[in-house]
Amino acid sequence: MSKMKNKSTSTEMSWKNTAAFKDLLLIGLIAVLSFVLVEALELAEVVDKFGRKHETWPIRQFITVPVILSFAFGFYSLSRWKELRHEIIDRRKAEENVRRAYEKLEKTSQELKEMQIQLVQTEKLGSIGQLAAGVAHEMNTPLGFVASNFQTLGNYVKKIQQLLEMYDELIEQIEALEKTELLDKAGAIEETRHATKIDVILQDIPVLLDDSREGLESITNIVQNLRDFSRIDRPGSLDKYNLNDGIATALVVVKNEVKYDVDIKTELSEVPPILCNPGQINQVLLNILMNAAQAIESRERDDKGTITIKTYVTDDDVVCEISDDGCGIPSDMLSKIFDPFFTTKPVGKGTGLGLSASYDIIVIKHNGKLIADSSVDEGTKFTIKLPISREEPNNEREVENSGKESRIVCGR
Amino acid sequence: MEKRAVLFVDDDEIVLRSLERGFLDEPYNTLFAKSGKEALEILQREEVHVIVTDMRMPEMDGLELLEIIRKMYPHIVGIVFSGYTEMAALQKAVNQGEIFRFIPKPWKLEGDFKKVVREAIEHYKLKSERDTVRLQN
Repeated sequence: MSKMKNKSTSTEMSWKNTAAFKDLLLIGLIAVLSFVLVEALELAEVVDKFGRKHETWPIRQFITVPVILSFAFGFYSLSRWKELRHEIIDRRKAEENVRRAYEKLEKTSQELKEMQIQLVQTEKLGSIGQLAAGVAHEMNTPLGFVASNFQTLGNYVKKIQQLLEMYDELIEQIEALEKTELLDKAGAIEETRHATKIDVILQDIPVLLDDSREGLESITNIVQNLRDFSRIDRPGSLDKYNLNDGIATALVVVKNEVKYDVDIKTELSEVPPILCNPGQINQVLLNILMNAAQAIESRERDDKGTITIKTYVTDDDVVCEISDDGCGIPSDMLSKIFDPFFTTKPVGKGTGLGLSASYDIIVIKHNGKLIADSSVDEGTKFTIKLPISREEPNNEREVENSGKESRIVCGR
Repeated sequence: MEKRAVLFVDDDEIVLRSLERGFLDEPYNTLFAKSGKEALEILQREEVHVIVTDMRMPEMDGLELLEIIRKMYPHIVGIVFSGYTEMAALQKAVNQGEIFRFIPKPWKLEGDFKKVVREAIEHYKLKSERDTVRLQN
């Protein structure tokens, strides 16, 4: 008996806090009770047959105890096994559920990724559309007057030829004709000169050529700017980029949209070239400038608004500040402006993706900062900070990113 | 019969110069204004039969100018000459009878532009004849 007690004590020491310990304790208790019972029966026997006590009772004791213990253990194992079976089934079910949920999540995430790529494309197309419309408008006028002048110059040349032929005729006949006839001819020439307004024409030709040259120069400039702006020749590549040049090209596009509503002031200081994706940065500049112009338009005042563009350098960054004196953004909306699909523009006017794409370009792709400050009725200021030196790992990530992006774009 | 007069309005002087030389030989007088305000000043002292105006100009745009002209000088025939196609505004102006024709920029001088201005002068003639007949009746 004392042997068993010792055993249960040592069990208690090592299994102290487990559920199995409690089970064992129960078994131990059953075993001890059974043993006591059996011994009580033995004692009864001892009273009946007193002389044989020494032979029987140790043997009985050693058989009975293990049998009782085995029964108890069997009973315990059976109940534990049932429990475990349920537990395993439950766990398998749970695992299956988790796996299904994971697959569903993965599918959703993939769909979202595809959707995002599509949306970025839509936004890109949107800004290209804006760009094309702006450029088309900008070209209409110079193209119009250069073509018009060209036709007029043709008419001028015809008149000059007509007059020259008359002079030639006069010179050919100068010796054959009488003086009065010659005077008549000269009079006819003088009349034609007057009728064809040749003096006006001769005075006008240099002006016509000057005007037309100016027109051709502005068309050339627009095309050059458009090419620089969109970098259609080198999509998605990293390049040396001067922020001031980017602003100049963005302004060509924007100026035409806003020239009667907005004054644009620039305070550009010398900035070092940075390594980035110029087409993307230009897209951001265009986006913020167009937003600024729309903010000015929407305040419904008759006087002109002002957009101020500043550039400067700090220790680490090239900084561009674009501020307007438009309607401003209420503080509860300011926190949402970089969220995809957030827009205050009427349905069909804005995708709500411009600023979220800008954020992606500046912050994620170029490791820079994009900050918005605004107060209602006073205006909004956007600050773009782009790091001057790009560390190697960042560079690589950028290359990977743009590589991935262009690959996906090509695949679509 | 007195010579007809056509007034061109555009805020771009180079455009006005190209029109001046382009319409040099046309059988009507040509007048030029750099803004809506200047156009209204000219209208006060000169008799004008046809007006050709740009849409987008500072201070007063072409449609505003045409609206004033329709009220003050209803006999003048209006033509819009523009690179912009702001459909809603144009539609309104056309429906109110302020615009006789629309000439897009870039324009074709010989075929389209001169033809349209001549048609406008013809339109003016018909309109004034009709008005005279109405008055006589």
